[in-house]
Order: sequence, then structure tokens, then C-alpha cells
Amino acid sequence: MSFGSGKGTRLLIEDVDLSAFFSGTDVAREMKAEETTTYQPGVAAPARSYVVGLLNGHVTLRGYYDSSADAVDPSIRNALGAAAGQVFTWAPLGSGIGAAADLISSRYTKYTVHDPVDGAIAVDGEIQADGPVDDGVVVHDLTAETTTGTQGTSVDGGAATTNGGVAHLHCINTVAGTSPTCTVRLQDSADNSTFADIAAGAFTAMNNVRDATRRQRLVLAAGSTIRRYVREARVIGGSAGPTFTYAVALARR
Amino acid sequence: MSAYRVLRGLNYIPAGQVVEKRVEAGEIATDLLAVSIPWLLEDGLIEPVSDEGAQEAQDQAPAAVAAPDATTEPEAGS
Repeated sequence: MSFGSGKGTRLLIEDVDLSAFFSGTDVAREMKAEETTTYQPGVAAPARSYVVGLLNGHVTLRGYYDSSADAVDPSIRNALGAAAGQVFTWAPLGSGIGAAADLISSRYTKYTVHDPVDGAIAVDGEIQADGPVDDGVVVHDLTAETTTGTQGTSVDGGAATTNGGVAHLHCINTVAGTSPTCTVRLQDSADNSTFADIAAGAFTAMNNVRDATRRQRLVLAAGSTIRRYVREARVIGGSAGPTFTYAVALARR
Repeated sequence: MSAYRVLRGLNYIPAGQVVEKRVEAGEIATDLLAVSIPWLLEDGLIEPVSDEGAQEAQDQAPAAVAAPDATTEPEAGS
């Protein structure tokens, strides 16, 4: 048994690390129980019966107000009502490689600012998962990468899986260098010695333009294999010290 | 030494070396790890090529053939 503290929680939403603005997160998974109760003549203890219905996910965030660029207020305010969902990764035990992470395609449904006369201005937000809450692991911590080094440490999933998965890439806005480029891909291995590119497991290349490439969600096709060991690999180009700070998480399905 | 056409990009550290090597899809590899070859074949990530085919690939596109890494130690006497 291994308990953990929430103090190191990493909360990545789109291309921003919002960890330092929040102090509490509730991630709820729900299953709709569909009733199938029928007449039960002669049954000694009649009872309701149910079948498994649809899954659902919901997130509640609590934190403190900050209106600076890339802080909590503009990040959520701008996302509320946006047509596209937000790439949301929550790692309650921190974002070290191998740490557990929940991956959600999220939709903000509520954002509240609390402004008391005798306290810190606080915020809370509510998020609806657009699809399932996927159970994953971090395969690249939120750290800077340069042209030195091309791959991360592998994560042992225990066994191969055959139902695809989902992966998130969050690159925060600290890209450096001249004409920097960065392509991140996912690799897997059956023996932790030779690693193969995962089919459709390459993220769109990033450069010095802050756009959708800094916040990507890949869905690996249902039925596709992910072998036992997984890792992240990268190719960084450019000059004058190209640097990208990003995190990657992968969930098997 | 057996030669294989790589059908999906691979990374590995060839035997006796310390630096990881990258081989792109379509390239010919002659130094794959013996322990990995069975599952790479079974999963359709590589396919065997004849010695003639490997030589032909080297002749036609030497730059595309997986060459030993730049850090490879030179063989004795070379």
C-alpha cells in the first residue's frame, strides 16, 4: 500500500501548467445504472435490477484568482464556451515518468470567481469530460528538452494491450532557439530493448508558433496494439539552443 | 549476418555499442538485436531480405541503409 500527498499534483490544461493556481481537484467517474426491474411474482425478496449504462466523467477545480497572462483566470475564461475541447491531464502524484495520470478531453461548464472582503480571491471551475476519463501514465515529465537526448525512460505496462489508447502532449510557452522544431512520438517494445514507433503515435511537429500543436490529443485506434513497454521519443531541430518544455501522458484502453 | 527491411521506425542499441540507433521505415538493418527479431517479425515490423536484396539496397541507396552509428568503435586492424 502506498498513500500519496496531493501537494505535488500536476494539472496541465492545453498549453498551460495551471498546477500553481489550484489547491483542490475532484475527478469523478460515473456509471449510469439503467433499471431493468420486472415483475417478480413469488420472489421472496423482490428487488430492483440494473444493467451497466453509459460512463461519464466530471472534474471540479478549486484555486486562487490570478489574471496574469497564462494564469488561471484568462485560461479558463477564454476556454469557456470554446468550440474545441481542452486537453486536460491530471497527475495527482506529480508528473514524473511512470506516475499515474488521468487524460480527459474536457469542456468547461462553469467558472466562478469568489471575491470575499476578508479573504483571498478564489476561483472554482467545473469540467465535463467529453468522452471517458482515461487512466494513463506520464511518459515525459514537464521538463525542458534540447537537442541533447532523443528519448525518455520507458514505462512498464505489465503486458501488451490491444484496444488502442489516447495520448496527450502539453508544451508550455517557453520555446527557445532560432527556428526551433520538435517532433514527439510514442514508441513501444515487447522486450524493453528495441522500440518501435506506435502506429499513428506521432504528434504533429511543434515550432516557435504557439498554436494547436502545443496542445495535442492523439487517439490510437481501437484494436491497435500497445506493447508492454512504452516511452516517448523526440527529434528537436533548429539553432541557437532550441528548447521545448513539454509533458506527455499515455493511456491504454 | 541477416538483413531485414524495417517496416516501421525502430530504435535500438546494437550489440557492443552504447549509443542508441534510429532506423527509419524502408531502411535495411543488419544489426538488429537477436532477442528482438522474433517479435519484430511476428508483429510485422520487419521482414527478411536476401543477401542480394540487401546488397542491392546498399548499392542503390547507400545513405538510406542503416549504417553503424558514428560512435561505433572501429574494428581491430581497420
